Amino acid sequence: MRARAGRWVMRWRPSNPSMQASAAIFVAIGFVVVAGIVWLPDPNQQNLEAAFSPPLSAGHILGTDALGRDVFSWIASGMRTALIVSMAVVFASAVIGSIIGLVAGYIGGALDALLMRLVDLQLAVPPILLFVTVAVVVGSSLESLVVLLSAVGWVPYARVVRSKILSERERSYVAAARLAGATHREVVFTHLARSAASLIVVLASAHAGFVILWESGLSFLGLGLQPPLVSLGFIIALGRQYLMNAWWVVTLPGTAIVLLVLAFNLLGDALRDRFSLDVGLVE
Amino acid sequence: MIGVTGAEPLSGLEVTRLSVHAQQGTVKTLLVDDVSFAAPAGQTVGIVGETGAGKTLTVRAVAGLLPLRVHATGHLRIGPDAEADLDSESAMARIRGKKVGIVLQNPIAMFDPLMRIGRQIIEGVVLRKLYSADRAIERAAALFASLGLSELVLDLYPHQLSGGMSQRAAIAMALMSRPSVLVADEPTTALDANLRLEVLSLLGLVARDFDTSVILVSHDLGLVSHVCDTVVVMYAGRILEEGPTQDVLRTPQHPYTAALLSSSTTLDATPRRRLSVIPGQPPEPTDWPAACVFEPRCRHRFDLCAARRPVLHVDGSHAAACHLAFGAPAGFREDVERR
Amino acid sequence: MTSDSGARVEVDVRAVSRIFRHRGGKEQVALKDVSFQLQAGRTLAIVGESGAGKSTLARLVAGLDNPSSGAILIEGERLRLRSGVPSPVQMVFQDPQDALDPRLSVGFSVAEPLRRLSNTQRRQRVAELMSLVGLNPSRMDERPGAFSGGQQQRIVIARALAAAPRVLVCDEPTSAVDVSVQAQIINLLLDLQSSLGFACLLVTHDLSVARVLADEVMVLRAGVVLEHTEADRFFGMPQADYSRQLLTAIRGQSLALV
Repeated sequence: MRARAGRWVMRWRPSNPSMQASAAIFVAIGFVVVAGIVWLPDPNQQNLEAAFSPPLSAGHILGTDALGRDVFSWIASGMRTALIVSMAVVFASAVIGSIIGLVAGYIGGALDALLMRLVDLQLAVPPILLFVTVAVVVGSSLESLVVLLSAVGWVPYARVVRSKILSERERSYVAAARLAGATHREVVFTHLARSAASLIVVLASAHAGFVILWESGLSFLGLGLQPPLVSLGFIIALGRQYLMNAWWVVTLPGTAIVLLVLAFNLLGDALRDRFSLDVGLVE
Repeated sequence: MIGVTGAEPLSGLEVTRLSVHAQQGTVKTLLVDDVSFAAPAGQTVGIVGETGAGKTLTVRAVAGLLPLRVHATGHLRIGPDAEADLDSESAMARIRGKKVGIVLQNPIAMFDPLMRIGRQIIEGVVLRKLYSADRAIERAAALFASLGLSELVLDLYPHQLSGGMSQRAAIAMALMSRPSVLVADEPTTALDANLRLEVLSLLGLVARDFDTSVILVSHDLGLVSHVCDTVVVMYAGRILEEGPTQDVLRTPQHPYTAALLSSSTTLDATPRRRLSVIPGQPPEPTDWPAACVFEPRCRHRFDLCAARRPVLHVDGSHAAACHLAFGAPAGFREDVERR
Repeated sequence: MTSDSGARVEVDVRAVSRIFRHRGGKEQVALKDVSFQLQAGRTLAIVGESGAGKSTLARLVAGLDNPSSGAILIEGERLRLRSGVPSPVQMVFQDPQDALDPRLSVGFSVAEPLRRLSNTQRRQRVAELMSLVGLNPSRMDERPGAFSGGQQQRIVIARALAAAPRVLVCDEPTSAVDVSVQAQIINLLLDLQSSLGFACLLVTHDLSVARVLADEVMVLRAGVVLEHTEADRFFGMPQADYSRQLLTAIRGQSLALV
């Protein structure tokens, strides 16, 4: 039995610094992205005269690259792209993975075994190899990137959801629901899905960070997005050779990636704290 | 000292004015209010009360195991030579783990599932250099023998033990450092009914044979009545009654004790007849009444009860915090007889 | 169908066995050839050690599991749990925290068996049920975590009653609560049974709880029925040695008022 005092102590949760930091970064990112859409020049616009302008030069707050493209515009658009890709991939992965996990966990038996073999299959293929192959065969585009990343990304959701369902399935409130006449669909969607919701959300926030890194990394390698699509990874790749002379072309987009991933990670931490259950004093 | 039944003056545990509060920012909530009792060596004291009465926090404070943001004040004396103020971390550090052993409700949870029992049991004393590993194993085996466990159990993993076996192993683990005090917090709640008596008898044996003070925390008066020499009844952070077990049960001097007794199920109950019940619920720590803490639910209350906090009325080693205590020879027993 | 005394037989268990097959081919006989009848308005206590098969039997009678052989008839018909229809056999579980979905309001949980009612009707019925078990109806939108263990168990009972059950299976209903709360739950069960007239199957390891609630007692040992008698006869002078041992062990822990 729980000591009441234990409940007392844990009920007062401190205001969450991770959430505050995360919110602050997202707001900043939001401004930048909006500025990019509304106000800044086209990132692909070249201006050879102003090439290699350092940060804080006239008209180019963060400088320009080898072809005179405005770095700030590039960062704003690149962030926008990264966000679009990560939201799309996370959404698709979460939906696919959760459904598979729900079905496997609830129905069990042969279907569960089959779906889990799918998971094993998925894990056995090294992602880079897969991406390279697909990029060579299909060519790189926004759609193929999203599909590819989702095809790899659904697995953790399936595993986490399935494992949660397996344990929740045995709890007496599920038995009570069946006794009350609940249909299988009602049990799954009213009770079980809800139990997995917080897990999915925490996973998604971490996953978003990963997707951003994958997208930037692939674009850096030339396997992801290329102009006219704007990617932070791409400009870093371009600027690599000029690192000594024009450090801002690599460092600033790189910092942007770091901030994006950091924002999502902090969000994930904050959500994990918020969803954590009360801890009893005894037991 | 209240509760001591003819034992040597300075032996065992003496708790003086123990209070526990939780601190969250500037908000301070009292969880245990000025509790004093003694547990002489070789005897068993039962602390009885409902969930939320503060019994677990009290014994955790004695063991030095309070959670974060929860603090204790008051004074402890263990044996003639170990004393500590509960708010002094350095003093408590000397006592913690050495003088007070603790056994908790779920025996399996006390063990790391990935380590063999033997290794875990000796880990504490070996790390603190109280024994060499070999001597520690010998001691563990000897403790097992006196608790009715085979030496072979030392090589097993926790999941291979039954509930009764793991509780005995947990008791052995708590006794490794020869503590003067053994605290058992609801040790039989997770066990089968027919095992409970065995484990409880073990605790009584530990008290007698190892000259330890044993404190048994339970919500079950029945269990306590069979094993404990002294009983302490707690409610809403305070001690309402304490004294030799048979005295308290035969002639309870506090209405709460009597009400607890009459709402307990026994094998001699009248079948299909409603049990007598204490109306309402124990109050939350923020709502504790200022005067008598049981007054809102007490059927014997009168005007003084809400006005002035009752002091501990004493009669020999039996004490009760009620304005009406020791007024009648049968105490509040008429509640009990109305079964 | 009625028994000799005229009261309706609600539960008819006929030669029920339950065998579990584990991986690797090992078979475990949880219940062997169990038979009994239970009439409306009466309480049968099933007692025995853990592992004796009490909970397995409880689940079988509730319809949450199917017997390997034999039959369970409720009101003369084979028991089958049907999707979309509340069962005539409802259950009160041991751990009230496990028995309530922590993410849903208690009103929602209590209303789960009320499938055919409109929203308004449902809320009204939930209010009635909550009052019936001694809870404040205005709290129906709160979550289980806001209630104490005893209150949670009352909510579980309210939900069971919402289905208007003919049989209530109680699996250790008071084990997880304080002694003082135990008395309240016991009183509640006594009152409800006398006013609503359901049959009650009480699984318990605590014979003193059985003493208060039971009309009949059945002792299970290793899946087999050892003894099945009227409660008074059982507590006065049980037939089997094992039963006597059980009683002595329990007497050794229940309140000894000298």
